[in-house]
Amino acid sequence: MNAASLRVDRVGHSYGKRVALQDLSLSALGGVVTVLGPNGAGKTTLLRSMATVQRASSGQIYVDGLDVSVEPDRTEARRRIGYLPQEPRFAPRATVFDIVDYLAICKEHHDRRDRHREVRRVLEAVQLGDRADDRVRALSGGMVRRLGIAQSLLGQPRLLVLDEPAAGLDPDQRLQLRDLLTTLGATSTVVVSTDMTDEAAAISSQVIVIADGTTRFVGTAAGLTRLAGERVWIAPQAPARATRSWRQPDGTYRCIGDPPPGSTMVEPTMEDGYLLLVSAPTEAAVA
Amino acid sequence: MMIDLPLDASLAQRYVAGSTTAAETMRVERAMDSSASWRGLVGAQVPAERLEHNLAGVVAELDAPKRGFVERSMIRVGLHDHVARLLAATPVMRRSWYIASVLVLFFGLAASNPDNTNGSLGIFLAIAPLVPVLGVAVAYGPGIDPAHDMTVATPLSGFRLLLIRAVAVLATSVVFGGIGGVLIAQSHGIRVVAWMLPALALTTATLALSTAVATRTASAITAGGWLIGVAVVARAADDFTMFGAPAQPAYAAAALAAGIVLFMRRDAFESVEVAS
Amino acid sequence: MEQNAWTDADDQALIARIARGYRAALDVLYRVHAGWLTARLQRRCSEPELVDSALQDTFVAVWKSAKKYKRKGEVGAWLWGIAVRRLVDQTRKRKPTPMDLFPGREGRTDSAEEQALDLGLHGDFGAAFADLEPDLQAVLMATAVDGLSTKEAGDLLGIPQGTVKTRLMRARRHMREQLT
Repeated sequence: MNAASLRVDRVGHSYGKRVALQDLSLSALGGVVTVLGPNGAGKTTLLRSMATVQRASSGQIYVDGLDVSVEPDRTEARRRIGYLPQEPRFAPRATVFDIVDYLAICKEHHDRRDRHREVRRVLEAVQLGDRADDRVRALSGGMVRRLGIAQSLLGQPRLLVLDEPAAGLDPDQRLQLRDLLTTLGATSTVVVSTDMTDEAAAISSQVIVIADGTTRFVGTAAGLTRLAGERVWIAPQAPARATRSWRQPDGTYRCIGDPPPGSTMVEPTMEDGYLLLVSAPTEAAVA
Repeated sequence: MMIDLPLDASLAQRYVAGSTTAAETMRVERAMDSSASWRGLVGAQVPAERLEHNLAGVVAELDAPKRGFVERSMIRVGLHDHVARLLAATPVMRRSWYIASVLVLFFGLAASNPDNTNGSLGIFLAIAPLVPVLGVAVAYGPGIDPAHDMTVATPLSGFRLLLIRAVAVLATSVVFGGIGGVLIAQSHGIRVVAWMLPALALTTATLALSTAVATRTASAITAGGWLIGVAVVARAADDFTMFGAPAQPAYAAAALAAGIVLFMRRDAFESVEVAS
Repeated sequence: MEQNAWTDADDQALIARIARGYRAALDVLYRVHAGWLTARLQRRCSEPELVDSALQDTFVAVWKSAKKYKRKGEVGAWLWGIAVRRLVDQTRKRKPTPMDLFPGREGRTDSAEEQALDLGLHGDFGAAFADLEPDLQAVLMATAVDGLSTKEAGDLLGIPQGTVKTRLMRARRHMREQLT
């Protein structure tokens, strides 16, 4: 097991007057940690702080016991981290190979031959091997994201921080991503923010729900699912009183909360638990 | 008469393990010289993993993208391969900086009036220090490098990367400026290099400022301030007071001071503040 | 007489195809020869990393210079000549720790069969060689067997060229005395 230990200790961050994160704590050692939350919840701020790209206004973050806010720990932590930003962007005229090669140099792969071997390895891992000589501007959005994932894999980092790695990927690619994450989670600590609740439920060892900069839930996927236990219903028409409902393709409505008239209870999914949490601002739960 | 050494797997094993005597070693190597079967037998003792690893290395080398002219030149001059690659891969706008520099210098030359060579020298000396300042503006920073977020998350120190690029910018500027100087040297002699210390001072000042504001803003401030200063002094005294012998040590001191500030504030290059 | 499934003619054909730019032929050449080359290089240098780099450099060199192969002698010998010189290049970049070339105990008595074999393979040379001190064996190996110059031998063994020359003189004197 080569996974980094991650400890986030009461981290907070504000942009000027706007509070993005408040008193957030979590810890992980190995496995896939999924971070869920609505847009603007602070997920990206949290991941950027973990990846040492941004310094949190308050609190501490430790990677393998290294304090990422001071040198020389921060540089050492960066040797163990791979990071995919929410919107990966690259110089349009550069080739795929050159992009990853450049970042590999930044990650201290100084020997040319070893570095090129590693570049090809990570490109293969995301099925971009035969695109190595294409220019970035010729790539689709999904390919650009996969390129971003590829560079995050350089050097087999002990801690991977991936911000929305599945965005823009087609279902087949999502499946391959899921396999990749499962494999990586076996040997590293992988922190992923995503909206793919079903797939996250399948592969995560830990799930964290953030809304409005605070933690609403820390625990397992099963635990999050259980929150919605006996609170999910199928109703024949739009209900008035339920916390949340939406129309299904067959015309019925899936509701979470109190049972509307004429509804039948169904087994909850993790997404139900998640929706229950984020649409009830005064509730916080730890399972 | 050649006697064939009978194939002997245990001898081959000991050979590969490195525990054979001199006589045995000679036997095996002589046998390999003439027998493909012996070569195969010995080769089979080497772990497949090692052979695959080395094959991947060969492939990596043969498939490596060709280096560009600038990169090859840098390596020939003695730079380490990975530093040359870093510089050559400076994202975006390298070409536009070269073009801008050449334009700047030619503007200076075009402004040179054969009847007023002093005036053209003045213009040249005023403009040449701007070349590295412009270079710094396009060589570093989140505005320039689309992958900045990802670069920050690497152990390569942002400060170190900045210095590498700044040195490259300065070195190239010396070349451009040197060429420009030679073209209008004529009767001016040593004065054509009087722009170098000001260039150094302006560049370090720009870098020091960029610990507080965006690199482009910093460049604009130093470039603007410089041009205003040159104009004011030229009006008050003459074209060369700004560059004369008494002024040069002042530039050196300014460069040193800015360098110290830059060094003390270097942590600013290690992370990103995002105004969200 | 053993039947060689793979002959030098097969190697020659591969080189010809490599010279025409067929990467697949290089792959085959690699699979046939990389093993023994690695093993033999490892018997000259204590550091596996240097051996790996030299081995890789060898096949890169083969790719680049296949056109220049002039069919003099066998492909195996040609490959070894390239490989050992790439190893010397590596040791020039990074000096390896000196190694004992033949750690096997000379105390073992070779069977009559083996002695006859040695006689057939290299006459009395073998016995005389085995008799030399290890330092002298190393320089003789590098120059006479591997065909290196005294400078190259010095780089490989990590000793000055002058030392190589003096040791070589002593080695040759010993061999002359033994073989006459």
